[in-house]
Amino acid sequence: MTLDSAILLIGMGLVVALLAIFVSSRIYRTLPVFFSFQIWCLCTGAAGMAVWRLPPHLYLRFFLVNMTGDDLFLLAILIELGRGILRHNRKTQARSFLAILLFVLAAVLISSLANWIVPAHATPLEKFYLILSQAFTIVRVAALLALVWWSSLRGLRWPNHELQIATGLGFYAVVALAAVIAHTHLSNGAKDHWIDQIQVLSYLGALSYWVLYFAKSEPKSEISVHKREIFC
Amino acid sequence: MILPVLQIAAIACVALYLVRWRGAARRRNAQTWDSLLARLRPDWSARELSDHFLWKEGLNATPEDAWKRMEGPKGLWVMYQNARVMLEMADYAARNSETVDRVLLETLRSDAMQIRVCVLMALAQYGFSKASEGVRVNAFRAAQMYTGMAARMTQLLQENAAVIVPDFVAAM
Repeated sequence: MTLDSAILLIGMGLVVALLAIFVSSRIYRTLPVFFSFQIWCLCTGAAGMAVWRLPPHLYLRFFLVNMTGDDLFLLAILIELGRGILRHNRKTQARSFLAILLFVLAAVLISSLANWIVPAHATPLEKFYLILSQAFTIVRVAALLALVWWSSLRGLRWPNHELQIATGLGFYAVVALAAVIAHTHLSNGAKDHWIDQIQVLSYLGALSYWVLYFAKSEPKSEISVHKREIFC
Repeated sequence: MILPVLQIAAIACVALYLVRWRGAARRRNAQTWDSLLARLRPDWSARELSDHFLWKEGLNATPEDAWKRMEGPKGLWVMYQNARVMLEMADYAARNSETVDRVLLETLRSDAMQIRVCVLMALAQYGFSKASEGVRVNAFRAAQMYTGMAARMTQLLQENAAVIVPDFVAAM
Protein backbone atom coordinates (compact mmCIF):
# COMPACT_ATOMS: atom_id res chain seq x y z
CA MET A 1 0.00 0.00 0.00
CA THR A 2 1.37 3.43 -0.99
CA LEU A 3 1.26 6.50 1.25
CA ASP A 4 -1.36 8.09 -1.04
CA SER A 5 -3.75 5.14 -0.79
CA ALA A 6 -3.23 4.95 2.99
CA ILE A 7 -4.08 8.66 3.30
CA LEU A 8 -7.18 8.17 1.14
CA LEU A 9 -8.39 5.20 3.22
CA ILE A 10 -7.79 6.97 6.54
CA GLY A 11 -9.60 10.04 5.18
CA MET A 12 -12.62 7.98 4.11
CA GLY A 13 -12.70 6.29 7.51
CA LEU A 14 -12.72 9.68 9.26
CA VAL A 15 -15.46 10.98 6.94
CA VAL A 16 -17.61 7.92 7.71
CA ALA A 17 -17.08 8.51 11.45
CA LEU A 18 -18.02 12.20 11.10
CA LEU A 19 -21.14 11.37 9.07
CA ALA A 20 -22.19 8.81 11.70
CA ILE A 21 -21.80 11.42 14.47
CA PHE A 22 -23.76 13.99 12.45
CA VAL A 23 -26.62 11.56 11.84
CA SER A 24 -26.75 10.22 15.40
CA SER A 25 -26.69 13.68 17.00
CA ARG A 26 -28.81 15.26 14.23
CA ILE A 27 -26.28 18.04 13.63
CA TYR A 28 -26.89 17.66 9.87
CA ARG A 29 -30.07 19.67 10.33
CA THR A 30 -28.21 22.85 11.25
CA LEU A 31 -25.21 22.25 8.95
CA PRO A 32 -26.68 20.64 5.80
CA VAL A 33 -24.03 21.95 3.39
CA PHE A 34 -21.16 20.74 5.56
CA PHE A 35 -22.89 17.37 5.87
CA SER A 36 -23.40 17.17 2.08
CA PHE A 37 -19.73 18.05 1.58
CA GLN A 38 -18.72 15.02 3.65
CA ILE A 39 -20.95 12.80 1.49
CA TRP A 40 -19.35 14.37 -1.62
CA CYS A 41 -15.87 13.62 -0.15
CA LEU A 42 -16.87 10.01 0.46
CA CYS A 43 -18.14 9.62 -3.13
CA THR A 44 -15.10 11.29 -4.73
CA GLY A 45 -12.80 9.25 -2.47
CA ALA A 46 -14.41 6.02 -3.69
CA ALA A 47 -14.29 7.25 -7.30
CA GLY A 48 -10.63 8.20 -6.78
CA MET A 49 -9.83 4.61 -5.79
CA ALA A 50 -11.62 3.35 -8.92
CA VAL A 51 -9.65 5.61 -11.29
CA TRP A 52 -6.35 5.11 -9.47
CA ARG A 53 -4.73 3.20 -12.35
CA LEU A 54 -5.67 5.66 -15.09
CA PRO A 55 -2.87 7.41 -17.07
CA PRO A 56 -1.70 10.65 -15.35
CA HIS A 57 -3.36 13.03 -17.85
CA LEU A 58 -6.75 11.31 -17.40
CA TYR A 59 -6.34 11.18 -13.64
CA LEU A 60 -5.54 14.92 -13.64
CA ARG A 61 -8.87 15.59 -15.40
CA PHE A 62 -10.71 13.64 -12.73
CA PHE A 63 -8.74 15.51 -10.09
CA LEU A 64 -9.67 18.89 -11.64
CA VAL A 65 -13.38 18.08 -11.42
CA ASN A 66 -12.91 16.81 -7.87
CA MET A 67 -10.98 19.94 -6.82
CA THR A 68 -13.57 22.29 -8.38
CA GLY A 69 -16.40 20.52 -6.56
CA ASP A 70 -14.43 20.57 -3.27
CA ASP A 71 -13.77 24.29 -3.47
CA LEU A 72 -17.30 25.24 -4.46
CA PHE A 73 -18.52 23.22 -1.49
CA LEU A 74 -16.01 24.94 0.82
CA LEU A 75 -17.28 28.36 -0.28
CA ALA A 76 -20.87 27.23 0.29
CA ILE A 77 -19.85 26.01 3.78
CA LEU A 78 -18.43 29.46 4.61
CA ILE A 79 -21.76 31.03 3.55
CA GLU A 80 -23.55 28.47 5.72
CA LEU A 81 -21.31 29.46 8.66
CA GLY A 82 -22.21 33.12 8.07
CA ARG A 83 -25.92 32.27 8.17
CA GLY A 84 -25.35 30.24 11.34
CA ILE A 85 -23.73 33.30 12.96
CA LEU A 86 -26.70 35.47 12.00
CA ARG A 87 -29.14 32.90 13.42
CA HIS A 88 -27.12 32.71 16.62
CA ASN A 89 -27.05 36.51 17.01
CA ARG A 90 -30.73 37.20 17.02
CA LYS A 91 -32.01 40.65 16.08
CA THR A 92 -29.26 41.43 13.59
CA GLN A 93 -29.22 42.23 9.87
CA ALA A 94 -27.06 40.49 7.26
CA ARG A 95 -25.28 43.58 5.76
CA SER A 96 -24.03 41.58 2.73
CA PHE A 97 -22.48 44.69 1.12
CA LEU A 98 -20.00 44.96 4.01
CA ALA A 99 -19.18 41.24 3.69
CA ILE A 100 -18.56 41.58 -0.07
CA LEU A 101 -16.37 44.66 0.46
CA LEU A 102 -14.29 42.80 3.05
CA PHE A 103 -14.01 39.80 0.73
CA VAL A 104 -12.63 41.98 -2.09
CA LEU A 105 -10.16 43.58 0.35
CA ALA A 106 -9.01 40.17 1.64
CA ALA A 107 -8.74 38.76 -1.92
CA VAL A 108 -6.51 41.67 -2.99
CA LEU A 109 -4.36 41.20 0.14
CA ILE A 110 -3.97 37.43 -0.26
CA SER A 111 -3.41 37.48 -4.05
CA SER A 112 -0.58 39.97 -3.52
CA LEU A 113 1.08 37.27 -1.36
CA ALA A 114 0.62 34.34 -3.70
CA ASN A 115 2.88 35.52 -6.56
CA TRP A 116 1.27 34.08 -9.68
CA ILE A 117 4.02 32.15 -11.45
CA VAL A 118 3.25 29.11 -13.60
CA PRO A 119 6.26 27.00 -14.74
CA ALA A 120 6.89 27.43 -18.48
CA HIS A 121 7.65 23.72 -19.06
CA ALA A 122 4.27 22.53 -17.71
CA THR A 123 1.67 21.04 -20.08
CA PRO A 124 -1.48 23.13 -20.75
CA LEU A 125 -3.51 20.88 -18.46
CA GLU A 126 -0.91 21.19 -15.67
CA LYS A 127 -0.84 24.98 -16.12
CA PHE A 128 -4.63 25.06 -15.91
CA TYR A 129 -4.46 22.94 -12.74
CA LEU A 130 -1.90 25.29 -11.13
CA ILE A 131 -3.85 28.45 -12.01
CA LEU A 132 -7.11 26.94 -10.79
CA SER A 133 -5.58 25.72 -7.53
CA GLN A 134 -4.02 29.16 -6.90
CA ALA A 135 -7.31 30.93 -7.61
CA PHE A 136 -9.32 28.59 -5.38
CA THR A 137 -6.81 28.83 -2.55
CA ILE A 138 -6.89 32.63 -2.63
CA VAL A 139 -10.70 32.74 -2.76
CA ARG A 140 -10.93 30.25 0.15
CA VAL A 141 -8.57 32.17 2.46
CA ALA A 142 -10.12 35.52 1.44
CA ALA A 143 -13.65 34.26 2.13
CA LEU A 144 -12.58 32.97 5.55
CA LEU A 145 -10.84 36.25 6.43
CA ALA A 146 -13.86 38.26 5.22
CA LEU A 147 -16.13 36.16 7.45
CA VAL A 148 -13.85 36.70 10.45
CA TRP A 149 -13.54 40.47 9.85
CA TRP A 150 -17.26 40.83 9.17
CA SER A 151 -18.22 39.09 12.43
CA SER A 152 -15.56 41.02 14.40
CA LEU A 153 -16.55 44.42 13.00
CA ARG A 154 -20.21 43.79 13.76
CA GLY A 155 -19.42 42.30 17.17
CA LEU A 156 -21.15 39.00 16.36
CA ARG A 157 -20.66 35.86 18.44
CA TRP A 158 -19.87 32.50 16.83
CA PRO A 159 -21.85 29.41 17.77
CA ASN A 160 -19.54 26.60 18.99
CA HIS A 161 -20.17 24.16 16.12
CA GLU A 162 -19.53 26.83 13.49
CA LEU A 163 -16.42 28.02 15.33
CA GLN A 164 -14.93 24.50 15.35
CA ILE A 165 -15.68 24.02 11.65
CA ALA A 166 -14.08 27.38 10.84
CA THR A 167 -11.02 26.37 12.90
CA GLY A 168 -10.53 23.21 10.83
CA LEU A 169 -11.17 25.00 7.55
CA GLY A 170 -8.83 27.84 8.54
CA PHE A 171 -6.01 25.43 9.36
CA TYR A 172 -6.48 23.63 6.03
CA ALA A 173 -6.78 26.91 4.06
CA VAL A 174 -3.54 28.33 5.51
CA VAL A 175 -1.61 25.10 4.80
CA ALA A 176 -3.06 25.04 1.26
CA LEU A 177 -1.93 28.65 0.71
CA ALA A 178 1.58 27.75 1.88
CA ALA A 179 1.50 24.69 -0.45
CA VAL A 180 0.57 26.83 -3.47
CA ILE A 181 3.42 29.21 -2.74
CA ALA A 182 5.83 26.30 -2.28
CA HIS A 183 4.72 24.83 -5.64
CA THR A 184 5.33 28.18 -7.32
CA HIS A 185 8.90 28.39 -6.09
CA LEU A 186 9.97 24.74 -6.33
CA SER A 187 8.18 23.72 -9.57
CA ASN A 188 9.84 20.29 -9.87
CA GLY A 189 6.71 18.56 -11.17
CA ALA A 190 6.18 15.07 -9.75
CA LYS A 191 9.10 15.48 -7.29
CA ASP A 192 7.04 18.04 -5.37
CA HIS A 193 4.29 15.54 -4.64
CA TRP A 194 5.24 15.65 -0.94
CA ILE A 195 3.78 19.18 -0.83
CA ASP A 196 0.38 17.84 -1.95
CA GLN A 197 0.67 15.04 0.62
CA ILE A 198 1.27 17.59 3.40
CA GLN A 199 -1.78 19.53 2.20
CA VAL A 200 -3.96 16.38 2.29
CA LEU A 201 -2.54 15.44 5.70
CA SER A 202 -3.57 18.90 6.99
CA TYR A 203 -7.13 18.13 5.86
CA LEU A 204 -6.94 14.79 7.69
CA GLY A 205 -5.86 16.78 10.76
CA ALA A 206 -8.92 19.02 10.39
CA LEU A 207 -11.17 15.95 9.95
CA SER A 208 -9.73 14.29 13.08
CA TYR A 209 -10.29 17.52 15.01
CA TRP A 210 -13.95 17.66 13.91
CA VAL A 211 -14.50 13.98 14.76
CA LEU A 212 -13.03 14.48 18.24
CA TYR A 213 -14.99 17.68 18.84
CA PHE A 214 -18.38 16.47 17.57
CA ALA A 215 -17.99 13.10 19.32
CA LYS A 216 -18.05 14.90 22.68
CA SER A 217 -21.52 15.57 23.91
CA GLU A 218 -22.28 19.24 24.42
CA PRO A 219 -24.94 20.79 26.65
CA LYS A 220 -27.22 22.82 24.37
CA SER A 221 -28.87 25.17 26.84
CA GLU A 222 -27.15 28.55 26.82
CA ILE A 223 -29.48 30.52 29.04
CA SER A 224 -29.01 29.75 32.70
CA VAL A 225 -31.64 30.34 35.36
CA HIS A 226 -29.45 33.16 36.73
CA LYS A 227 -29.43 34.93 33.37
CA ARG A 228 -33.18 34.51 33.02
CA GLU A 229 -33.59 36.17 36.41
CA ILE A 230 -31.47 39.17 35.39
CA PHE A 231 -33.10 39.73 32.00
CA CYS A 232 -36.83 39.76 31.61
CA MET B 1 15.19 34.40 -2.12
CA ILE B 2 13.74 37.36 -0.23
CA LEU B 3 10.27 36.91 -1.79
CA PRO B 4 9.60 33.35 -0.47
CA VAL B 5 10.75 34.42 2.99
CA LEU B 6 8.40 37.42 2.92
CA GLN B 7 5.53 35.25 1.68
CA ILE B 8 6.09 32.66 4.41
CA ALA B 9 6.28 35.44 7.03
CA ALA B 10 3.00 36.89 5.72
CA ILE B 11 1.28 33.47 5.87
CA ALA B 12 2.59 33.01 9.42
CA CYS B 13 1.04 36.41 10.29
CA VAL B 14 -2.33 35.33 8.80
CA ALA B 15 -2.16 32.05 10.77
CA LEU B 16 -1.24 33.87 13.99
CA TYR B 17 -4.10 36.32 13.48
CA LEU B 18 -6.59 33.47 12.99
CA VAL B 19 -5.30 31.68 16.13
CA ARG B 20 -5.69 34.87 18.21
CA TRP B 21 -9.15 35.54 16.77
CA ARG B 22 -10.23 31.98 17.60
CA GLY B 23 -9.03 32.36 21.20
CA ALA B 24 -10.98 35.62 21.52
CA ALA B 25 -14.12 34.06 19.99
CA ARG B 26 -13.96 31.15 22.47
CA ARG B 27 -13.43 33.48 25.43
CA ARG B 28 -16.39 35.55 24.25
CA ASN B 29 -18.65 32.49 24.19
CA ALA B 30 -17.79 31.77 27.81
CA GLN B 31 -18.15 35.29 29.23
CA THR B 32 -20.59 36.29 31.98
CA TRP B 33 -22.25 39.61 32.80
CA ASP B 34 -19.77 40.18 35.64
CA SER B 35 -16.78 39.52 33.40
CA LEU B 36 -18.17 42.05 30.91
CA LEU B 37 -18.60 44.68 33.63
CA ALA B 38 -15.04 44.05 34.80
CA ARG B 39 -13.75 44.75 31.29
CA LEU B 40 -15.07 48.33 31.27
CA ARG B 41 -12.12 50.71 31.69
CA PRO B 42 -12.58 52.68 34.95
CA ASP B 43 -9.48 54.92 34.59
CA TRP B 44 -11.33 57.60 32.60
CA SER B 45 -15.03 58.44 32.48
CA ALA B 46 -16.99 60.54 29.98
CA ARG B 47 -18.64 62.23 32.99
CA GLU B 48 -15.79 64.71 32.51
CA LEU B 49 -17.47 65.76 29.25
CA SER B 50 -21.17 65.72 30.02
CA ASP B 51 -23.31 66.41 33.10
CA HIS B 52 -25.94 63.97 31.86
CA PHE B 53 -23.60 61.16 30.81
CA LEU B 54 -25.41 57.78 30.60
CA TRP B 55 -28.81 59.47 30.53
CA LYS B 56 -28.65 61.92 27.64
CA GLU B 57 -26.70 62.32 24.42
CA GLY B 58 -24.45 65.40 23.95
CA LEU B 59 -21.43 67.16 25.44
CA ASN B 60 -20.99 70.23 27.66
CA ALA B 61 -17.69 71.20 26.08
CA THR B 62 -16.12 72.69 22.98
CA PRO B 63 -13.76 70.49 20.90
CA GLU B 64 -10.75 72.17 22.61
CA ASP B 65 -12.15 71.61 26.13
CA ALA B 66 -13.18 68.05 25.29
CA TRP B 67 -9.65 67.22 24.08
CA LYS B 68 -8.19 68.49 27.36
CA ARG B 69 -10.76 66.73 29.54
CA MET B 70 -10.39 63.42 27.75
CA GLU B 71 -6.64 63.63 28.46
CA GLY B 72 -5.85 63.29 24.76
CA PRO B 73 -5.27 59.78 23.37
CA LYS B 74 -5.93 58.17 26.77
CA GLY B 75 -9.63 59.07 26.73
CA LEU B 76 -9.90 58.12 23.06
CA TRP B 77 -8.50 54.66 23.74
CA VAL B 78 -10.86 54.14 26.71
CA MET B 79 -13.80 55.04 24.44
CA TYR B 80 -12.55 52.61 21.80
CA GLN B 81 -12.39 49.74 24.29
CA ASN B 82 -15.59 50.56 26.17
CA ALA B 83 -17.57 50.85 22.91
CA ARG B 84 -16.67 47.24 22.15
CA VAL B 85 -17.57 46.07 25.68
CA MET B 86 -20.93 47.90 25.55
CA LEU B 87 -21.67 46.23 22.23
CA GLU B 88 -20.92 42.82 23.78
CA MET B 89 -23.19 43.75 26.71
CA ALA B 90 -26.05 44.59 24.32
CA ASP B 91 -25.41 41.32 22.50
CA TYR B 92 -25.44 39.45 25.83
CA ALA B 93 -28.75 41.10 26.74
CA ALA B 94 -30.23 40.19 23.33
CA ARG B 95 -29.26 36.54 23.79
CA ASN B 96 -30.82 36.34 27.21
CA SER B 97 -33.94 38.36 26.72
CA GLU B 98 -36.81 38.11 24.27
CA THR B 99 -37.79 41.76 24.65
CA VAL B 100 -34.66 43.61 23.43
CA ASP B 101 -35.58 46.09 20.70
CA ARG B 102 -34.04 45.08 17.34
CA VAL B 103 -33.66 48.68 16.14
CA LEU B 104 -31.94 49.73 19.37
CA LEU B 105 -29.53 46.81 19.07
CA GLU B 106 -28.70 47.67 15.45
CA THR B 107 -28.15 51.32 16.47
CA LEU B 108 -25.71 50.18 19.17
CA ARG B 109 -23.84 48.02 16.64
CA SER B 110 -23.60 50.98 14.29
CA ASP B 111 -22.52 53.31 17.14
CA ALA B 112 -19.73 50.94 18.18
CA MET B 113 -18.42 50.66 14.62
CA GLN B 114 -18.51 54.42 14.02
CA ILE B 115 -16.86 55.25 17.35
CA ARG B 116 -14.03 52.80 16.69
CA VAL B 117 -13.44 54.09 13.16
CA CYS B 118 -13.52 57.71 14.40
CA VAL B 119 -11.10 56.97 17.29
CA LEU B 120 -8.68 55.13 14.98
CA MET B 121 -8.75 58.07 12.56
CA ALA B 122 -8.13 60.56 15.37
CA LEU B 123 -5.28 58.45 16.80
CA ALA B 124 -3.68 58.06 13.35
CA GLN B 125 -3.89 61.83 12.80
CA TYR B 126 -2.51 62.42 16.30
CA GLY B 127 0.46 60.19 15.42
CA PHE B 128 1.35 62.49 12.52
CA SER B 129 0.30 65.94 13.65
CA LYS B 130 -0.23 65.79 17.43
CA ALA B 131 -3.31 67.74 18.67
CA SER B 132 -4.21 69.53 15.42
CA GLU B 133 -7.67 70.94 14.64
CA GLY B 134 -8.61 67.75 12.72
CA VAL B 135 -7.65 65.51 15.65
CA ARG B 136 -9.73 67.55 18.10
CA VAL B 137 -12.76 67.55 15.77
CA ASN B 138 -12.56 63.76 15.27
CA ALA B 139 -12.11 63.22 19.02
CA PHE B 140 -15.12 65.46 19.70
CA ARG B 141 -17.25 63.49 17.21
CA ALA B 142 -16.16 60.20 18.78
CA ALA B 143 -17.02 61.52 22.27
CA GLN B 144 -20.42 62.73 21.08
CA MET B 145 -21.24 59.31 19.61
CA TYR B 146 -19.88 57.67 22.76
CA THR B 147 -22.28 59.61 25.01
CA GLY B 148 -25.14 58.66 22.64
CA MET B 149 -24.18 55.00 22.75
CA ALA B 150 -23.86 55.02 26.56
CA ALA B 151 -27.32 56.62 26.88
CA ARG B 152 -28.85 54.01 24.54
CA MET B 153 -27.12 51.23 26.49
CA THR B 154 -28.59 52.55 29.76
CA GLN B 155 -32.01 52.68 28.09
CA LEU B 156 -31.65 49.07 26.90
CA LEU B 157 -30.73 47.90 30.39
CA GLN B 158 -33.52 49.89 32.02
CA GLU B 159 -36.06 48.28 29.72
CA ASN B 160 -34.75 44.72 30.00
CA ALA B 161 -32.71 44.35 33.20
CA ALA B 162 -33.30 47.32 35.50
CA VAL B 163 -31.69 45.48 38.42
CA ILE B 164 -28.21 45.73 36.85
CA VAL B 165 -28.37 49.40 35.86
CA PRO B 166 -26.68 50.63 39.13
CA ASP B 167 -23.69 48.30 38.54
CA PHE B 168 -23.38 49.52 34.97
CA VAL B 169 -23.60 53.19 35.99
CA ALA B 170 -20.93 52.65 38.68
CA ALA B 171 -18.62 50.84 36.24
CA MET B 172 -18.92 53.61 33.64
